[in-house]
Amino acid sequence: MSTAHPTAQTGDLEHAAHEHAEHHELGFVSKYVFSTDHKIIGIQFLFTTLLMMMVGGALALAVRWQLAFPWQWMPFVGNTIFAEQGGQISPEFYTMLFTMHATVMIFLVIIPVLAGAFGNFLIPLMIGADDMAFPTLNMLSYWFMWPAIALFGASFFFGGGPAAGWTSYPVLSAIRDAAPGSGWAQTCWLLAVTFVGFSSMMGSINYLTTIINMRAPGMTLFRMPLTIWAMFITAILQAFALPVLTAAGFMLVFERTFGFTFFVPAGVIVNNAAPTVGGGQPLLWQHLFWFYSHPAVYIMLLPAMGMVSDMLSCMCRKPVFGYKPMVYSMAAIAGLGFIVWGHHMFASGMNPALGMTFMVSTMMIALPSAIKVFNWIGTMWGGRLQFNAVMLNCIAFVSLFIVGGLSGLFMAAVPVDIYIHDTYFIVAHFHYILFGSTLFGVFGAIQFWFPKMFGRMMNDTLGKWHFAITFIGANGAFFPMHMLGVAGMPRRYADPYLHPYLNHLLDMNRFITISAIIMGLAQFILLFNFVYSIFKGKKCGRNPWGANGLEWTAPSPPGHGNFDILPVVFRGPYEYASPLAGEDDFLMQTKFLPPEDRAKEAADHDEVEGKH
Amino acid sequence: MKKFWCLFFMFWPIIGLIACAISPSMNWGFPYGLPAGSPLGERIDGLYYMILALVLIVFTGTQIGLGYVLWRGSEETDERAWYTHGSHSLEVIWSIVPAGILLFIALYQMDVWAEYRIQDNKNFPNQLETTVAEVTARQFEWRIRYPAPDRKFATRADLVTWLRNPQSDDLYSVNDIRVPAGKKVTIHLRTEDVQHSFFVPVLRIKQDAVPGKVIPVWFEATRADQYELLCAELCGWGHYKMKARVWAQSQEEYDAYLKQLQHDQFDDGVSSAENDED
Amino acid sequence: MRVRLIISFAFAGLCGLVGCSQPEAEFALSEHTKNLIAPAKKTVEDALAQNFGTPNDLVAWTRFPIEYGGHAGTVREAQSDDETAVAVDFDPPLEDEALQSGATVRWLSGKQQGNTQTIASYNPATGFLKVSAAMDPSPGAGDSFVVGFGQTLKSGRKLYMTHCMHCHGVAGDGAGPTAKYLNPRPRDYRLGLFKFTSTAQPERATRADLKRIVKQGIPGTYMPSFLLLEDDELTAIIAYVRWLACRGETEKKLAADLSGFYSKEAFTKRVESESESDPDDARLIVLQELFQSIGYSGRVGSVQGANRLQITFDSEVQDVIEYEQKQLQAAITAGETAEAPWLADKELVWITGQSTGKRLPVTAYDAVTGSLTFATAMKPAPTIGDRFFIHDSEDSFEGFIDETTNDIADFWTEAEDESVLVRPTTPRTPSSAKSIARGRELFLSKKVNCVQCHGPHGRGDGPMTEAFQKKPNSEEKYPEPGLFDIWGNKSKPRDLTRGLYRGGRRPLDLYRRVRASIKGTGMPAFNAQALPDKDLWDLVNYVMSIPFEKQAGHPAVHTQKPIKGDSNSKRESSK
Repeated sequence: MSTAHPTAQTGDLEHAAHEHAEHHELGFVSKYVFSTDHKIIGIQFLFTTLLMMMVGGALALAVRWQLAFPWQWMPFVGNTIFAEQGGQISPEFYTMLFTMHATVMIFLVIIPVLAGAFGNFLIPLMIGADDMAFPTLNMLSYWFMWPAIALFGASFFFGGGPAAGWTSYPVLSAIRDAAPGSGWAQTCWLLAVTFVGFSSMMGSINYLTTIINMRAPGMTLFRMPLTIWAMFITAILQAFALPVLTAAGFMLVFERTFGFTFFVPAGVIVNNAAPTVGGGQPLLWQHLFWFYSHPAVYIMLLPAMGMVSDMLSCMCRKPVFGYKPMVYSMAAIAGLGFIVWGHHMFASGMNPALGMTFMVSTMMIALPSAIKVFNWIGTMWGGRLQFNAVMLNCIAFVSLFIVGGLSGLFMAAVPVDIYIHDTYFIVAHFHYILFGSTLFGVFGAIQFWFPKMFGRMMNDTLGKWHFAITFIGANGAFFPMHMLGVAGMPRRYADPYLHPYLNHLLDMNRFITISAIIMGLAQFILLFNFVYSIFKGKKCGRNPWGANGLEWTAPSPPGHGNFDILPVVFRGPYEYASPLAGEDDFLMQTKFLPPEDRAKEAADHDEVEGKH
Repeated sequence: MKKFWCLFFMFWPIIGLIACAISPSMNWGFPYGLPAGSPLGERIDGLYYMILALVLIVFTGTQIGLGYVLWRGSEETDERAWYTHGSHSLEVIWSIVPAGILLFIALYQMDVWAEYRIQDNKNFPNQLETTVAEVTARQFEWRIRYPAPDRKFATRADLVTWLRNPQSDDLYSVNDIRVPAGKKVTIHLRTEDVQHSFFVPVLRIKQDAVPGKVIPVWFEATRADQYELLCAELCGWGHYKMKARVWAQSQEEYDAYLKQLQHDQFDDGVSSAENDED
Repeated sequence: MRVRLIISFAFAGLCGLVGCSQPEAEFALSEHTKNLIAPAKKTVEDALAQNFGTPNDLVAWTRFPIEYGGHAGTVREAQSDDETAVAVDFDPPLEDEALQSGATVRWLSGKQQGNTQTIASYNPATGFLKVSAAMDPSPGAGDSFVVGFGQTLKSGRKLYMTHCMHCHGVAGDGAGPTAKYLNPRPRDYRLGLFKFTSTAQPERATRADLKRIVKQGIPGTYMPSFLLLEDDELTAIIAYVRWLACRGETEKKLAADLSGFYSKEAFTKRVESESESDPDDARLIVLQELFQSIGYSGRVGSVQGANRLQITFDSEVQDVIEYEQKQLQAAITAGETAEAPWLADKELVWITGQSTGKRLPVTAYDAVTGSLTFATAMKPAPTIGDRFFIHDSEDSFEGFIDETTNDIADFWTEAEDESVLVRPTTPRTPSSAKSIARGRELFLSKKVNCVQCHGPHGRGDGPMTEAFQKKPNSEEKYPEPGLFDIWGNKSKPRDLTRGLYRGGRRPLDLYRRVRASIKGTGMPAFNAQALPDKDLWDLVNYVMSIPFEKQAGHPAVHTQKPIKGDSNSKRESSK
């Protein structure tokens, strides 16, 4: 459908409605299991990622337990696997724990929930399309997650699970004997990541095509909600960065299985085997890996940023402050995100001159993030704030993003990074971003779009309790990690207390563990709220929040084809508190205004446009 | 209720600032609360504190801004929200000012890094004069090879030959690196198996050991003292066990140590007066 | 909704069952022990539990030369008025701080022997030790005691569990969780053998040897250097390792003794070869032999009087006893034997409970009521469930245990003796081209024949590595060609071209590898007759020169100036 024309053609509308009436009845499996409907697929992603979040969280708690009570009995794990040792875990088990925690959280939770769950559910609805451009491809992108999950699960049974970190650096991950999990477990891991990659790739192709081609009449690019912009830019990031990871993954699999030598140099002696004959470069992996994984961290952030902008605007009942700067900032983050990967490698032995170049680009990337924070605060400025659970989660996003972003400055300064690289300072930084920002954004998004997904509201009181306990637990867990990092506590250590200069940190680590346990338990409130509300939540209409996006014009939940009346778009999605809104305090994108108001609106629009 | 949430969000930044303020007295800062043990380390600390100061200011400012908008926005009123799509001038201001700050930080740290790593920099030590040892990381210990005390490296070729070929008069040690204090020394870092990382927290040094490479790492230990050395790149299940020390000694003690090491290494159990000790 | 609640509680309950109580660490049994028939296995288990305890509840058997720790002292004079205090001398003298609060004093001699009390205070100035409860009878002058007994062993255990257990295993069997990923495997202490020692070939390792290994690590293996452990930590760990080795050796000997007849295969064979037609009876006959040697085990049912108990024997023991009773009855009926009280002249020894180790002479056993009568009163009275063995007073399995452990203890004590220390008597010949050439001759010679394992170039690829070797004490051959060590692992001869010496790189260390052998492996010992010191030094010089050979098999021509510090190197003109 062409979107260049702001006015609809009635003939098209009737034709579309006619098509919809003719669709055939689907069986249960086709309707709910192997569905090609983007809404079902989005919800499938949501269920799966919530489940995986609990798995990843459990792994994290095991890691924290070892740090709080080193070499003492670990509940559940100690009883089942290490009973003979009195419940004391072994060091290689610990390496598996943190490897799989990161792997599950990154590849099976954060990326799928943002792109897979919300991307899928929201994109067609927000741009006024009836489904994705490639519905079958969409279904495949969900079902490709399951082989990945199965392979990750299978990897536990080979040598105890992959143990080379989620970063999987060779030579540790390349030589089968270098670590217990570097045999079949690592191969399973690599194959699983490849499946996740395929899933993401299919998704991103779908999103790009859909957003470019299937917008409703009148929805120009700069009338799209920021969520869609974010999903669009994220999809570009995925499309360009992912092939590099996939290639690197294949190279590593070939190295391990067929004896290629991309990454292993000559003369390496591991576990008393004969020296390798190599010719490879370990740093090559790092470059390839981080070339994807740095944009990946923006993939894990931008959709949440977009969604939070939409939610904030709705809950503050005013337009987003600086819509175009927000769009340009996201684009700048994504663009710059391609040229900063070396900041993960300052101490790695790469040419130190690259340290300078990557430092400069990393400093530059702090700027658009800062602009976005100011714009969010500007969005809230002068607003009429509704403090429901959605809003609380969004405010937490902004507040904690400030911490996470600022802590990044220390790492960008290369000499300081020499000290804090591979310490808990880094762990604090990315957990503030991934948990403090992205995950709170996701919690808000779940509660905001739940009514649209299921036609019922989630319980707001439970939402607030979940928020408060999670917020306190998260800060309690991750803020002290900054101190641990400055104190020099390295990452990935099963027992830091062997080293005298770290002995005094046991109490702080215990405090963090207890906070983490509290935080983990609080998630059951969300899960309970979620599941319970699906069946027993208060029923709601199309637009319980009084929000402005196109999705709120569809029924709750939308039926097949999404819209009973094809939307036509007249304005941007943030016209809250508009003087032209009449009795409501918001002006829907699809609302048709009488001519004199239309003229006024156009004048305002030019004024606003001109200023940007 | 709304005000409660505003206070809730303001409470935590205050706790964070208090935590930062009491950090020094609680020994939550750099190791042992001591200044860095090397001149370059002191400059790194200075850079760190400068960034910390800037960050605290920005943090406080933004949180105050957030708190203000939350407080104002939670007032009960029937008026609609302020209908605005933004402010061009504000966008300009809050793009340029942070850009300036970031540019300042970027420029400020460049020569610290150059001194640390760029060989042409005037402060970068001459490896031929300052080489003290080759340190080989392996799973899960640090093996050190010293050149014989009288060996001098006259040319680069000498050094390269020595690095490539162990000599029969080399001295070996494990998990214990001795260096003379108060002067620049270079160690040549390599690894026998997987990646490791040479991390001496008190001296603020870190350098990954990469298979297939020999990387020169220089430092100067200001005080004669023992410094803890650990591994900072995941190298397997024993990553946390690679506990070692860098011991900076006065020149006399250092020379005496090497002599003793040489003596012990060629001990035949008869010629020396003392019995074989453990 | 209700169903969902019930399911969630059930789930939580299940999790609780699985995850909520700490499991006990266990000493795993050796393969040989596991291969015994159940009663024999139980005997070994009981003996080990009684004398060594469990990982969380160690028993310090003073027979073994282990530093269990604590401070020893003697009584200077007893106080007659205050029954809680006594004047003592510690050896070495003690500061008050060294006595931890709640430390116990354990009496080793005198009227209080075997008793323990909690210490209230100790005054180093006056030398008065005050305990929390009255001591009755009071100790006399010269009585010896130890304070904080077992501290070193306990702290050694704690350090071992943190640093060593995950490779070396809870029982020191080299089979911890990490062990299966390591090449070579971690040491199994239970044979009492360590490879790199300073003692003669048949001897054990010394404490100094073990400390050396822990401090320096073993290059080329996953045994890292623990250089930065404190001295007292090292001592404690070594004490615990030696204790584990003693325990392992004890288990090995006990299991070996019983395996001959009572391993599962041996037992089955013997039962089959018994001429008795009824297979059950055949089994009982063989078991009878076992119980006659190790004793009849059982537990207390109830206490019936000062010297009478109602007991139950373990089930297989019960079967045998009934069989024996039947045979006895038949013999009496046939007039072959006069009626004799069964189990008289035997003694009962307690293996659990308050009286562990104490013995009681048995006078009668009534098979019908299951009651056992003793000659003397039981003091203290046993509790229900206490376990015991009943056997002959002489020539019992107990006696065998005693003998075995005495031997083991003697071996370990002997190892510390100067007389077994391997030390060269002549200084090392200065390394020179001539010495190296002589060394190479020896290396190739038939007399020393290093090349058969180490190969002509010292690469560790000699002909022995390609032949199938016989297993020790057996005609069976190993499934793979090459050399194996006594722990059953494939053991490659050292590649001498690498300059990597696992036991240390000093000339003294290399001397010791040849003179004292590498215990447990195919590297033999060459005594002073076979290879006198002078020749051995030539060999050592050659070996030390192999890594620097420009061409394999061509010894280095010594043209460089003497190595400063190597007082044994001397300039020699090139050949």
